[in-house]
Amino acid sequence: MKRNLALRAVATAASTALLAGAFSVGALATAQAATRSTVVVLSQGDITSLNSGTSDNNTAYNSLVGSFTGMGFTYYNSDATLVMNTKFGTMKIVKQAPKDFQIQYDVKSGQTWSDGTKIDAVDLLLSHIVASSKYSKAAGLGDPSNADTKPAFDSGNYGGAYDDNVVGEPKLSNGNMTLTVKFAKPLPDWELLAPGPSPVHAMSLIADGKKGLQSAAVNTAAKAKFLKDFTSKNSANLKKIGALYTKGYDVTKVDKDTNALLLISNGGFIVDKFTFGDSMTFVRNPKYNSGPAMATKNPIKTVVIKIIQENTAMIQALRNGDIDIYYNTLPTGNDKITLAAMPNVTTTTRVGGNSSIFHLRTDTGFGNTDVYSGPFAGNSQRAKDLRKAMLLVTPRAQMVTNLIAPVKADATPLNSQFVFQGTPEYDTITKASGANVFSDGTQAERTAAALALVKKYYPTASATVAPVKVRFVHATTTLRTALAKLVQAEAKNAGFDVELNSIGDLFGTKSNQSAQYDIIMHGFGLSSISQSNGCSIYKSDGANNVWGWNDSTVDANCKSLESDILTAKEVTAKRAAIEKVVIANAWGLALYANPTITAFNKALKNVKTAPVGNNVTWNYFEWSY
Amino acid sequence: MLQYILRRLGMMFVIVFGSSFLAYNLQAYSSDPLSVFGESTAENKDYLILQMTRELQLDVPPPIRYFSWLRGIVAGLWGDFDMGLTRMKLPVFEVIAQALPVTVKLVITSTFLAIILGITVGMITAIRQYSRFDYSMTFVSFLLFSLPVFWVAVLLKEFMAIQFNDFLVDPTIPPVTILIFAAVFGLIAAGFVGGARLQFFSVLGGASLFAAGLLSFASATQWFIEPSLGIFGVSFLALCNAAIVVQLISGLDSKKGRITGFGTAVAIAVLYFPLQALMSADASLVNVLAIFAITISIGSAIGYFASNIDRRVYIRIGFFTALISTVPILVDRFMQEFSAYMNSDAVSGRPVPTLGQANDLLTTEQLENFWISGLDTALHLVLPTIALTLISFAGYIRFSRGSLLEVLNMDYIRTARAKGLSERTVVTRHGMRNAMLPLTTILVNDFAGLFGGAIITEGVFAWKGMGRLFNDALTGYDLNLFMGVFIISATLTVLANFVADLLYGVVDPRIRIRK
Repeated sequence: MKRNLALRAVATAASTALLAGAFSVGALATAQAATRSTVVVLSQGDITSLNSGTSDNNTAYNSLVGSFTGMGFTYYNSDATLVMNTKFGTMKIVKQAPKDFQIQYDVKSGQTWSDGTKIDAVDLLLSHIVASSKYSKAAGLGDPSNADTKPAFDSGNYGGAYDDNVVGEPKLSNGNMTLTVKFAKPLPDWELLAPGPSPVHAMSLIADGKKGLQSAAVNTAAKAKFLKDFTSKNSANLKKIGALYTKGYDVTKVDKDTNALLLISNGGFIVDKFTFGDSMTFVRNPKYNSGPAMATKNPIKTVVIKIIQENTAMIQALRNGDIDIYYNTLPTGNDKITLAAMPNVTTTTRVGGNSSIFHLRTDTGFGNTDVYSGPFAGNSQRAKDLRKAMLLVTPRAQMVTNLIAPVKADATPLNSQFVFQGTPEYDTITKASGANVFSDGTQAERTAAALALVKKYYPTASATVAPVKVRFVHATTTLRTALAKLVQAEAKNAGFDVELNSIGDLFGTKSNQSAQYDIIMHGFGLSSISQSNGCSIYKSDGANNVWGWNDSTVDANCKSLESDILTAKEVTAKRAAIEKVVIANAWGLALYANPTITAFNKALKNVKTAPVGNNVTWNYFEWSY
Repeated sequence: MLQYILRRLGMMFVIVFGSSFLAYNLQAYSSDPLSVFGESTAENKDYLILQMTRELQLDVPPPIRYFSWLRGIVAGLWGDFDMGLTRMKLPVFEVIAQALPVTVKLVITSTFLAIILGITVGMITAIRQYSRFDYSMTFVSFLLFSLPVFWVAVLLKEFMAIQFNDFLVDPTIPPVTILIFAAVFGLIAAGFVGGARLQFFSVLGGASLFAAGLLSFASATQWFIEPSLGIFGVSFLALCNAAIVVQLISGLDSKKGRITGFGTAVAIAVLYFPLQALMSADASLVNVLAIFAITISIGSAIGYFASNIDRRVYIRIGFFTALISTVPILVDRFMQEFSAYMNSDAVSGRPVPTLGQANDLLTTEQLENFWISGLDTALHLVLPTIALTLISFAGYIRFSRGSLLEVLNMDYIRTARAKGLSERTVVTRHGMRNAMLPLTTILVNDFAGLFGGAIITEGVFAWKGMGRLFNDALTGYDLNLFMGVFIISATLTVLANFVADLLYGVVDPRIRIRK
């Protein structure tokens, strides 16, 4: 210290002499920052609308806004469980008959929107308008399934289970605090169909040309008007609200000139500023009481969503404190090393939202016409053996060790296409499905077994002679290419000549649905946890069954998963039965659970990623410094 | 002439129309917007596909769809302009209207810097052909030429943002670092000055000593967290600047030139304190313009009164000296806010950001203060500007060097020397002016290209400009957005070529447009 001071004195003297005091000297600043109260969250894509319900194909990023400004009956937590938000309200089945299935939604009283207007069940009615084609047609708002003209409410919610099964209109009761919805049959995933609240009074006001927050009386009248428009199916008025729903919330800028009625919220925050492609700033909603209470000690007062699309830029921004929360669903080992070395950052790695998977073609895909005649075609013993050999020779352990363990050290190959390691279901399902056939023994033993299977049909096959030509396709990413090379090298030992094809746009209708590929490696993710997860891929007429699989056991189990209200145990048993067929027929094999990284400012507490939809913002109310 | 212009305009129309037709079809046939649903597990997938097909008219063949797009553009003639919607349903026009100023803000400073620096250095290397400086600048320009901007950006962020912000916690520079910096600075300065061995080493020594002194001073006084130039810094820079301006315009041996230049510099130093009154917290751009008006009129007046013949030359000296010397006064004013800015909640001690256009957390009060919001913008511009300047000014060095060398070998230069003109006059009046001619085309085209944006730079610094829109359009199969960016870049490019051709006739009287 002393030496340092001496040096400093000498330096000062020298420089003062040289410059003759050419520069003025300021007093020493004390850099004592107060406790931070801001969180800057990363968004990897643009926000284009304050309404994530429209069909603009940008729900993933637009729903980030809603996660701060909206609270409804449910949300997913970090354990991928659907949590009932009792602060907002409750729901229960009130009638369960084969042709009459009724659910009652009770909105908890005492809640208000950010402008002070009371929240009640009338606010849930918009959900019906934007999800029921029948209502749209009956109210003269257009037929959503018409290929030429779009409906007044250009919503992305038509055509789903709600639309297919809802009967009549929802009924209000209990002083407009309760809503009862009737469906044509019992729906297993009824909890996912809960209507979300919308500030209908504000929408009605904007549709009438109002600007800025209104008085309580005006708001109440506007809500009554909306209810009247809804029940009397007032086409003209509803069309105005439809235009607002479709376009009015699509903004490129929010500032002090923005109509405050557009920004009304019942979440913990309200949108304050927005610049397209750059950032969105939120401030606290002082009237928030629709969800779990905000942290009381050093809570967050401002949230910023910062849009960054380039990974290195995100990481450096995190290191520099320009952002507080970073996430990456496709991290590399280098990302992990860089993040781990940062002094100001906590890094967490977890699995549970996505997996990587192999799927083998057996036939022409559902709804396609290309004829498939590759080595895996059909359900003959020969095709099954060759498919099984291909899966046996896939070096999953090596893939995980080389490419996944650098990100998540304890990663192991995944044995189920439905559930992940660490869940109670996993052990039950994998034990019943017989997936261990692809992980028992060493890779050398499995490769030898694969070669034996291939030799049955190609006697010349050996580690040097590869008579079975296989066309393999994967997305053009560094990770996928590296994985594919490992497969190609190992498959050669069992007589497979694997031709690697990489496509940037893997899911273009032309690539994975045409019959020109025998095997695909791709990611597999969940956007919601429904009982019938995976069925659209495995059942013979599933919309995503593009690889030609067909099995009656699978179809029967899927039918039950899609239409019966089952206990958790029954669901597990049915999934295991499906998985057993998949394994026995060697249709496909899960490779590993994709690890995701969340890294955040060390001082920030309670950041937890929810695997469903890779949501880092779900528990903002728990965040604090 | 009118006929020529009309013919060119007609050709431009054909080119823009033809290229847009080609681009539209190529993009439409090579991309499949429905592919986002390839893996969708949404239960209403069929409905979503129907909806997108309806929205984007995917059932209409692209060559026919092109004309419905074109109708929106042509409708602009009667005020019904429509560029369509992006795939995310935002109006393309609105998105571009927001991105264009962002790109201009990002690229304009660096383009000017690159041109000024590049041409200056290029011309010096031409005058000192085959000198140490020429060789080292040739090396540097090829090095910069070949640097990928994303890599430059990563390094800049690491050293000039992250490490620098870390350094600001205790802004004391270790002696070793001071020595290294001083030596490097000395070498650069000595390279610039050139000359015989003795001169080289004396400049090297002097400059190193100067740099070492400056850094030690800054380190000892914590200058980096409380920066300012003060009246002494402003005066010093004004005098240096006056010397350069005088040397370039009249030569330092002209007494009237010296009186004007240094007189203006002194006047600006004297004005330092009075001008502070104009730069209060509630100042605006008008105040800044007023300051320039005051200093420039004083400079020009000094030039006017210091001379009785050839007044234009001296007024020019006064004008430029005042213009450039006022900048340090403004910089000094911005610096006065630095400490408060840095310690505010929004910045919390890390003033240099790695990305973004502005700090989202500044309070309304801070945003309304011209100096604080200006400082914020400047700090956000630092890294991308350096990155863009570094990679683009190398080209100007090579162009201007080659151009000036060619001119200097001309007969009229020999004539100019033979009639006894000073070397300064030969180079500045006869050499540089003629060397600028071939650069006109490049400059005009670069300015047109400016509106196309900097695709990679905008990406790594997270600026939503035209470049990033273009990239988004390509990767997101966003045909309308793609065409929006395309039509603007294409039109500007053909216009720029046209303007360059017209400018040729203006700057070079030998070129006339024939009928």
